[in-house]
Amino acid sequence: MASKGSSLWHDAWMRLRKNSMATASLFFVLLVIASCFLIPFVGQLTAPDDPNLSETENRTLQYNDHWFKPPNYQNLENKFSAPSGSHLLGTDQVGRDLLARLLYGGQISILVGLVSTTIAGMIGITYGALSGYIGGRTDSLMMRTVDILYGLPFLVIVILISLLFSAYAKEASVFLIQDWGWDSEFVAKYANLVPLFVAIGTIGWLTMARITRAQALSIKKLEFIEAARSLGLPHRIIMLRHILPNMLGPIIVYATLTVPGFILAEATLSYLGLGVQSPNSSWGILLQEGSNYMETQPRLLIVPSVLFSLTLLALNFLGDGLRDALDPKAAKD
Amino acid sequence: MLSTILSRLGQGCIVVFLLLALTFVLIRLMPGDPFTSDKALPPHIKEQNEKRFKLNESNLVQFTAYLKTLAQGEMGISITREQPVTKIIKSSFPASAILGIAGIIIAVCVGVPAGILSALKKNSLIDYGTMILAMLGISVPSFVLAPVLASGIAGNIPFLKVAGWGGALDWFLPALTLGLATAAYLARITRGGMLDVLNQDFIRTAKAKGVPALKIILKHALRGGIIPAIAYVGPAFAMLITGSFIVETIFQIPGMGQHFVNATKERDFFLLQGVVIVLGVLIVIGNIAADIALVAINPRLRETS
Repeated sequence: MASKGSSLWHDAWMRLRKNSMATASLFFVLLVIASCFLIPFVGQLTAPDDPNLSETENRTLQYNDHWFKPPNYQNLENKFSAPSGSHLLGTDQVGRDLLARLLYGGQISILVGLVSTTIAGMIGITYGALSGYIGGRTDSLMMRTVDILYGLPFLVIVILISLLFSAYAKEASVFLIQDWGWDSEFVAKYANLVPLFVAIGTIGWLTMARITRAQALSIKKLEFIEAARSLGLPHRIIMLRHILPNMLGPIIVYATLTVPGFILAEATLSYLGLGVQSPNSSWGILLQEGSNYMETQPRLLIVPSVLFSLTLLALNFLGDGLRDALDPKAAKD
Repeated sequence: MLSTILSRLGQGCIVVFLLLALTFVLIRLMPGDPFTSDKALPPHIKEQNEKRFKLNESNLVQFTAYLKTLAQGEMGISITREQPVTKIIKSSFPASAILGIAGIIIAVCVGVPAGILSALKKNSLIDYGTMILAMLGISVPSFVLAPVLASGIAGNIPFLKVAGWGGALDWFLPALTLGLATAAYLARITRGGMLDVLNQDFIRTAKAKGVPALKIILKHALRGGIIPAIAYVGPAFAMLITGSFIVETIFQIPGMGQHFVNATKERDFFLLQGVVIVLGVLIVIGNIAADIALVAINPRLRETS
């Protein structure tokens, strides 16, 4: 009986499964993502309004009975309440439910991490692959440019670019709501994220470009690429069909390690008051608000801090585990 | 060696110039202007203000004028503070410098030994413990670490304050906050570098020859194993400087960080440009210093350059 061949991905999966830290991290990350996106979705209020009551009464009635509070629902009579049955993690300084804000904030933070990584990845992979594949003088010019851009302080440029784009995002959201009739709540929630995506994505691609370029340089010297070229395949096909798939390992590894960095960048910006704006919540905003009440209400800082740090920790461990699994040569032990 | 430094210096100049030009353009493209405040200014006063700071000219004219000012060793006048930018920077630089230097000392003193220890005791409890701590150090942002340190340390030691600047030991907590994250990166990099070297034949030969373990580590392994860590000191320095902006905000330290954040928010063009230039120059110096150290410690680099 012919033995079943094992692919690179299968091998990698087996290696990853052996690494208990990475497996646990993978499950934790999936759990966090699932709860951030599913619980608020399931817990959305759909109960019809009672026409005999005023809007405020209606909302109070609905929200107080519902197990999942909307994240922006304030109740000033119930601020700083301790964790209880109706507020599993208690409430914040204006009586908003901490759990709901944490989950909604998680959506924003995870979204920023994933979308910025995708943008940075696409720019970096294209740039790096072109640079490595073309080679020669173009390559050294392109890489010298990357070297110079590398010298720029990441955070400073991200802050400037995101502030610049947030002005346009405001105009665009007004346009979308008034002229195109988009849902104003939806636009308000995501419009001020776009500047962050753009800023982090356009600055964060440099390392990805370096990694991809090094890969492309070494792969293009291999015989199967020579074979492809002698068959007369166009460069586009060689790049997309033969070089790119062989670079996926390191790309995935580095992308995984990028996500926590970008989530951290978002949190830092929001902490400084330059990122996601209230009343939207992101983990950075929760941390910033929590630190204002550190002395009197440590819970407001501790809960987001623990979740935030654990998520970043898990993502980093997962990235490390993936590197060991996909790229055994690069593993340092 | 000299040519390396010169080319790095040239590259550094480009970096600083690019940074300045980017900042210059971006801050002017942003909506709002430095004179926007709570009450609307009458148009003629606004015009007068703009004339005073030459903001009514085209960007190119402004930029060349600014470069001329720089050439004279000045950085213009802060629009919102009505003070020369050089004066503001001079008064806030020491706090940032103390913080940065203390931070990098803490980072090196904690990170490098931890990495070496981890590599020597590979796959032991010490190794796993150190590496988990290092991962924690990378994952926990400074604004989470700061309150933890503040309540854990400052609460128990009477000389330490939670925030503020001026006392003899006020630098300690912020510098610790700043240094620990970098220490975590350094520990991981040092461990990797040491492991690479420890697996090589010449270490085995030395062991077989009966060279004492300590001498093998210090004299043979460390010289090669430390190289990745030193290569990282340049980027680490940049990370520390921008990181200090955040730590300064947390601990309310009158350093350059507050000026960066406020100047950006208030559109104080000249102050922001000044702060960014200082930042860029510092980063370039850090990178060049790391390059020189690399060449000094690694003879193989000397021959090729």
